[in-house]
Amino acid sequence: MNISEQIETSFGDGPSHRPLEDRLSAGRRARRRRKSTEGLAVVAGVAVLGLAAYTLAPSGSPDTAKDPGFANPSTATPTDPSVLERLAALEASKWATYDPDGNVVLGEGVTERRRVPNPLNSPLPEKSVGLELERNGERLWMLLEYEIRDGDGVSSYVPEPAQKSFETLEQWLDTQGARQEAREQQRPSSAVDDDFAGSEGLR
Amino acid sequence: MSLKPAAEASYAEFVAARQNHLRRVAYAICGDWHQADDLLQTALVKLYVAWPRLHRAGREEAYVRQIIVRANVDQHRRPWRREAPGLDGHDPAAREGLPVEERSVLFEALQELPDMQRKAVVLRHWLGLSVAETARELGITEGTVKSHTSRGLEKLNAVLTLQ
Repeated sequence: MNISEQIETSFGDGPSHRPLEDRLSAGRRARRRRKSTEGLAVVAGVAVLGLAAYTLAPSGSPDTAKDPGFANPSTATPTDPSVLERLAALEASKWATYDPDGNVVLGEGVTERRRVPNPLNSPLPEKSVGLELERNGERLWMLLEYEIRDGDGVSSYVPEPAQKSFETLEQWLDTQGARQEAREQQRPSSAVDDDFAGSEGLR
Repeated sequence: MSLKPAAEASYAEFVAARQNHLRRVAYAICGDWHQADDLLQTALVKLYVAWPRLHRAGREEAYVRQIIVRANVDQHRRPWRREAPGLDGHDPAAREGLPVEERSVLFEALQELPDMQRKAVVLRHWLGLSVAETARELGITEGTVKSHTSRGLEKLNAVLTLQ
């Protein structure tokens, strides 16, 4: 008997399984949650990718005043603080994003200083990456996440000015992971990653 | 929101056929039946959501196995997990497994291996993954996989030789 067969036979089957209906119900709940957030998430993803495509176009100019899809923060007059936050997040999205094929793309004038691969341990084809970026002397940390939803690549992100709250990129990424973990644990079934709040600035 | 009836039927068929094996994989990795059951449930829920795509690609089992391994790796890697020494399933004294008399010497030896050695041995020598696949699933280099499996097997063989 080889080692594989010996391992296979080295322990029993364990206690009885949960009823199949429990498995199905949990799956349906997860799917329902995904569907309920999908519309917003895809819109957010399209906004991110659209902005990225605009900003990252080789001959393009990052002139937001000419972008009909972007309210220039300097000319808009938002009164709701959450609007300001959203605009700030939109601006941050121009630093880096996943393209629809799951490749990290940097914005114009942005330099990658450091990269932490897969900080969320996302299972393929999902991906995540932590980045320390620099543009015009300004440094930004970004956590990017890439998911496939109904065949479309969706990129979401969390930005943070470098060392604003944490000493190291790793510490900040750990905190973001913990927040995601906490959100998942608050759900009826802690089993899905279907609406990672990484695009929180867009919600 | 349910899958279409045919898709849900094929999902149910897969679960019924493979849940035993998949939970044993989880148990071999984490050494605790309750934690193994949670890992499997997590993986199966994710599988349900992604079922049409994964079923078409024939990647159902690989996906579930990957979730199980990654979820467990994740629990051990993240500092907020490591800082919880009393966490259920992570305290060896609190682990709930088979009664001692029903456990095999090999399984006991497997559970005594350091975490990554155990996972590397399970993936390489039980589930038959290549060195590259094992490295990818565990997020470590191929060289580290080789050294983990070599040391792990050496210890297991030493235990088996004594029997």
